[in-house]
Amino acid sequence: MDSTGYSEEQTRDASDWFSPILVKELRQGTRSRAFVWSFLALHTVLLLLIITALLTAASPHSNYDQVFVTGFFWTLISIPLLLVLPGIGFGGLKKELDAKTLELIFLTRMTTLRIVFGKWAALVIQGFLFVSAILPYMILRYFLGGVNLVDELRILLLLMLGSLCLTAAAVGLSSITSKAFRLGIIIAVLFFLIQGLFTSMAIFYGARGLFMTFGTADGWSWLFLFFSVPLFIILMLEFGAGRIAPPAENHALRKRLTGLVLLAGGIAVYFGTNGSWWAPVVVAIPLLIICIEAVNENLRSYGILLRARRAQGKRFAAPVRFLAPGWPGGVIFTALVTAVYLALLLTDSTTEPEHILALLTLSGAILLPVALIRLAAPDTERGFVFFVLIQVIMLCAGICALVFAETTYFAASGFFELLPIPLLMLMLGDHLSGSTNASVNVMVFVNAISLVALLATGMTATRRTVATTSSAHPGQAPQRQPLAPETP
Amino acid sequence: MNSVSSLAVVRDLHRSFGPTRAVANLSFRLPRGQVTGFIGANGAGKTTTMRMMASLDIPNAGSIEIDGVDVLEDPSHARRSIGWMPDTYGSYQDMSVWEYLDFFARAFGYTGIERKRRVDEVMDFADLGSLSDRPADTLSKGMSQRLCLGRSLVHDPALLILDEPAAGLDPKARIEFKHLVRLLAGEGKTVFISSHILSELAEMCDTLLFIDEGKLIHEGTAESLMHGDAPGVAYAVEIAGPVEHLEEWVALRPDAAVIETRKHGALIRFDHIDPAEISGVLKQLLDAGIRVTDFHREQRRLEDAFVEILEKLNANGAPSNT
Repeated sequence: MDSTGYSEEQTRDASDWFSPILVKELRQGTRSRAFVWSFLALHTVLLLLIITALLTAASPHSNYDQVFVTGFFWTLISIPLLLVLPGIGFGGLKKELDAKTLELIFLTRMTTLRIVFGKWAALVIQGFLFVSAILPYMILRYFLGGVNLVDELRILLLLMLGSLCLTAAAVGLSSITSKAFRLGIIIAVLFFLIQGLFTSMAIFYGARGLFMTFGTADGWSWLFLFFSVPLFIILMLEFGAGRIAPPAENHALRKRLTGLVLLAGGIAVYFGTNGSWWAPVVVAIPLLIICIEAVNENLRSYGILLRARRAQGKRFAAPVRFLAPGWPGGVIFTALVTAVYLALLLTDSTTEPEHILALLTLSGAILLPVALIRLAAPDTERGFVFFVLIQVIMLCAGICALVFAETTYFAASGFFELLPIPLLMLMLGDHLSGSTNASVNVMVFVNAISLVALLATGMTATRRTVATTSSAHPGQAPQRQPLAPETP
Repeated sequence: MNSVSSLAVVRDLHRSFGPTRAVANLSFRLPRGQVTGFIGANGAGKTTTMRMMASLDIPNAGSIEIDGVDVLEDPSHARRSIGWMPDTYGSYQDMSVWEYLDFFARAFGYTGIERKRRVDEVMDFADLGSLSDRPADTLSKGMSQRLCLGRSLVHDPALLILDEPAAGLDPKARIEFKHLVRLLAGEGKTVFISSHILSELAEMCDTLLFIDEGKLIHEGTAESLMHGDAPGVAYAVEIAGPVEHLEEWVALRPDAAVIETRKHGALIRFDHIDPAEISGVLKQLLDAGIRVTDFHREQRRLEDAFVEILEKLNANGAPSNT
């Protein structure tokens, strides 16, 4: 009982049932200029659109006008859901990191995942506010005729799911503070918008066309959609949480487990659809992100977690080391995922050698750079920067290979086919000089040698970390300085 | 080890950033209910040490125990005892002062009336009542510091770690802030406060820790530092007329020496003299025909003490305790 005579339940207000970060974000979000102006602008334009639709309803070109109104209507709704809210989300963690306010929240009882989840949930609620605000206009359009309400609701559902995923991705990626990376992401998104979605949406058919295509999809597609969307959201939020988290938090486990569940879902769809490869291929994209992040994780986090676990009398069991944070665990995880895909390919009767080559080239493109980095500097904490650098060099080599392949046959067949990314580019460009089987053998060798090197350096690095962690005092530290005796 | 009267115990702390060693073999205790000052030049390792204590950074080696809990092994438990006030932080847009504190109270697990009461208590303590509805990002530096102090007190921690809290404050705000720190000490809180402005810390701290290049170079009270361990008592003497007369008079006395010549006088150290009999020295000065215009005992400035400690350390290579 409270001193006021009320029980704790009675003294709680409604907002106490929500996450503190959600309450804070909603307070801030619904007052922000971006939200208020988008909301007002959407209503103004929708109102004008409906008036136009009402005025043109009786014209001889009514059908054509209605199609245009429909396209424009969905385009308008797509802008806040697919552009404005992810745009706000893309600044979410970055703003806090710049203002150094996240650290203040870390010291409370909030975990980093709750922080990131709260930010995303606040944007989702704002999205629902947008959607509930457009419902009256949808119903008005229904009374104007030519609207299938079930189809429209299905489109709205898909649009919402798309918004959930994009917003989660934006919040997760907002943990990246590097200007170059952020600029790269923005350019990629703008390119995608201009090239794809919005071009088709703005011209007559809008999102309707895109989403209607999916509306005719089979049960497996819908099942996979509802299965993979939450996992993708968790993965992206974990990505953000992992990047901002103090080193003592273990995010590798959840990310890798999510990846494995996605992989299992992809395999289930593969078998359920009698060998259709679309689900394992779709799942490969988030898995690629997980693997790249995993192989570049610092081992320091592992040491710190190990120390905390030891204090609690726990340890990392050997069979699940591939889930332990740090690049050695990440290498084993990547090898495991590659092995699963390889097994799937080998059991499929329709598999061509090119498919195996593509898989081995992708895994080689991850393992080879990491092997080079860890052989040169096993303890570097800037592994990801070097990884990106090597990828850029390989990409440039790939472009050179393609140019040579167009002009000189022999130049392309030699050195470049030993390197994963140039080999992949030559393969995709149909410029392989030798036989595919020979290239497969080369990639098997590249993968095997990289893996052996990584496992050897990984074991040494892990042992070193464990040794450092087992005593609070590393060997290289100076002599212990005695503390002054306690004063009474 | 008996940790009853120490709230925080730091042992053999090391932290390196690549080849740069920020903290090296640092050990100290924070006595319960006392204000401890943490002094060092910019880049000496103060913020790094405090961040590690606040569980925001992980040392390469060593241990930190706060209220009996190891910060590295159980950071979430240790955080309940820590109130952290960083040197710089941003505030939130579109959020009032009350909402700002309310958010942190929620994040610390307070609900309902208890939360409101806690926020009101903190607002009262930090004198933020009149700013309740003001947007948190429009406050002056002094108000912001009070708000940040209030935030660090929301969960009623036993230890307050304040990193350069008075930096950038105007004199009035500094005085207010010092007053708040003393109030906290009066309430039994252990306060660990850093600054590179030594005089500021001397007024509010019970103990001072000096750090340089990541190492603890001195630990003692402000009183002991200001008096120093040099023999004798220093007096500042100002005269009307040439300073040479004063210097000649000092030269004739075996128990006195000029420490520093000043524009209208000198700082003189008198050895083997009882401060109660100093009036006799003044009389001798006047009898010698020196027209004394000012005569007072001068304490060492903390800055001088700090420099002296550094010089000693360079000469001997050993940290000191007073």
